[in-house]
Amino acid sequence: MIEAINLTKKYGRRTVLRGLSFTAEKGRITCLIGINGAGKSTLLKAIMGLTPVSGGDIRIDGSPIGKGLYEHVAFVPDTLTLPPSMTVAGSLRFMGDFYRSWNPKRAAELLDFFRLNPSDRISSLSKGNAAKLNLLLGLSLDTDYLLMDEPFSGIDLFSREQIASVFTSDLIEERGVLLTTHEVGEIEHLIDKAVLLDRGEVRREFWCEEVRQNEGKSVIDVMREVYQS
Amino acid sequence: MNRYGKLALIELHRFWKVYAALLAMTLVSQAGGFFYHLRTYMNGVHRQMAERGFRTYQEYREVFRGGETFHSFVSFAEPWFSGPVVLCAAAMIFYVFFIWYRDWLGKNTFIYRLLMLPTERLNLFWAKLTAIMAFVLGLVAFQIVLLPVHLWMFRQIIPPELGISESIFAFVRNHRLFQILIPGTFPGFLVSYGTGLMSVTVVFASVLIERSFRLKGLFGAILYAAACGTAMLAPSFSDRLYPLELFWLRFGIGILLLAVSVALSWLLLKRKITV
Repeated sequence: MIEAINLTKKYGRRTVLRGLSFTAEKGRITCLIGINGAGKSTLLKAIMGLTPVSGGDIRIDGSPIGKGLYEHVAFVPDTLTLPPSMTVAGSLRFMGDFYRSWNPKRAAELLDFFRLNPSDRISSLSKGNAAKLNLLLGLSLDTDYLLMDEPFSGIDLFSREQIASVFTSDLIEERGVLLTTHEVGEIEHLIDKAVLLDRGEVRREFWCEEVRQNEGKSVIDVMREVYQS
Repeated sequence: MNRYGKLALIELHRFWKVYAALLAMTLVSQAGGFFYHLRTYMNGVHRQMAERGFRTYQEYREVFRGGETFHSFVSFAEPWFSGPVVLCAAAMIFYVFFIWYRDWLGKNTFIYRLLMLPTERLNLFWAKLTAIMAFVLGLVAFQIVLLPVHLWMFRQIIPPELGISESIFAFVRNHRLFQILIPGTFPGFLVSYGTGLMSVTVVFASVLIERSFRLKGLFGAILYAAACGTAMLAPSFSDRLYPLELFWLRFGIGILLLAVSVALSWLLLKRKITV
């Protein structure tokens, strides 16, 4: 389980995370929902040790984040973070060179599934193909958790459908997925748990199915209640 | 290969096109410029000999000044020699900063991936430091290889009556730029390039201070670099020290600054760096 406990983050005088706490369980898809500036991306970066927090604690399966984090948790940022001159095949080699958890068989299958050309340079990839490669690099690591920052942002309908299909496949099963979005509509049916953020605070954390059954509300209904109240 | 080695190879690979261009520019400028200068000189000699009816270079030498050294000929073509060296040095100074900043720049910010590699983050520091030192030493080595080529060209074009050949060692000792670039003794080499290594670690630490604390960090970085520079220069202002004492004091301060810069970089990469 990923636990964020009372996290605080300040950029100068601006407080981005205000005593934020939530959990993301293994084998479940947890979605951080909030408008731009709510602190979603900062939170993921903090979990991955890419930005220091001003206070609070992050625990992965009960342990503080440490050296083995990156073989245990994969992060798919909102852009492809590899040099533009690298080829698709080169990026796969790069990952295989550094990560013990790299699964080359799965990478080859996903390359085929996403119809990516190994000889294409990263600089020449369309936004949709860059997002697919980004996802491929994250999914091909045999990690317990997968963090994704806005995986559907700014890409075409068919690419979105292809990426969404990954969430219902065995590539995700058993893993804990934590993703962020500000457009929950088209992935509502995929997520198990929603964490609604607003100005660096958790406004509500709930299991989607429970709310559907007990209160007869969708995630969007709950969002309306929370954000428009 | 371990992860440090792989990272160092990546850093070497990322700069190789610019580096190859720097080597090519040095070769073309020095060899081309020197060749052009030597040919122009010999054309002048032949024209004068034809006008005055001289049959031998000895006759020419008796009337006109001749018997210049290799060093003198290089001095006449100085911009072609020193120009690329200064340009390469400037490029390397720029790259000491850019080797870090390039990872934060652009749409595909590579620093995310580099910081998420399952290895000690200090390996990034070592890999970049290794790349810078390899590039600098490579440029110097290339220059050392080029000098005998220039000397050979000099011997081929300028007849012995008009040009005095000298050893590369003597040439380097007398040239104001090359004597800095290629120290004459091994201890001299260690001091020059050791100071260079220490300076690079200070710049790296300063860049990481800036990358960790951004605007506040910029002031911190400038202060840190200034403090290190002052610490290195301070002993020079003392007139109570013997040269050997001054040397050992500077050596000690240099080692201390190197250690502090590495330790500070390690701490920043581990705890404070932000993407």
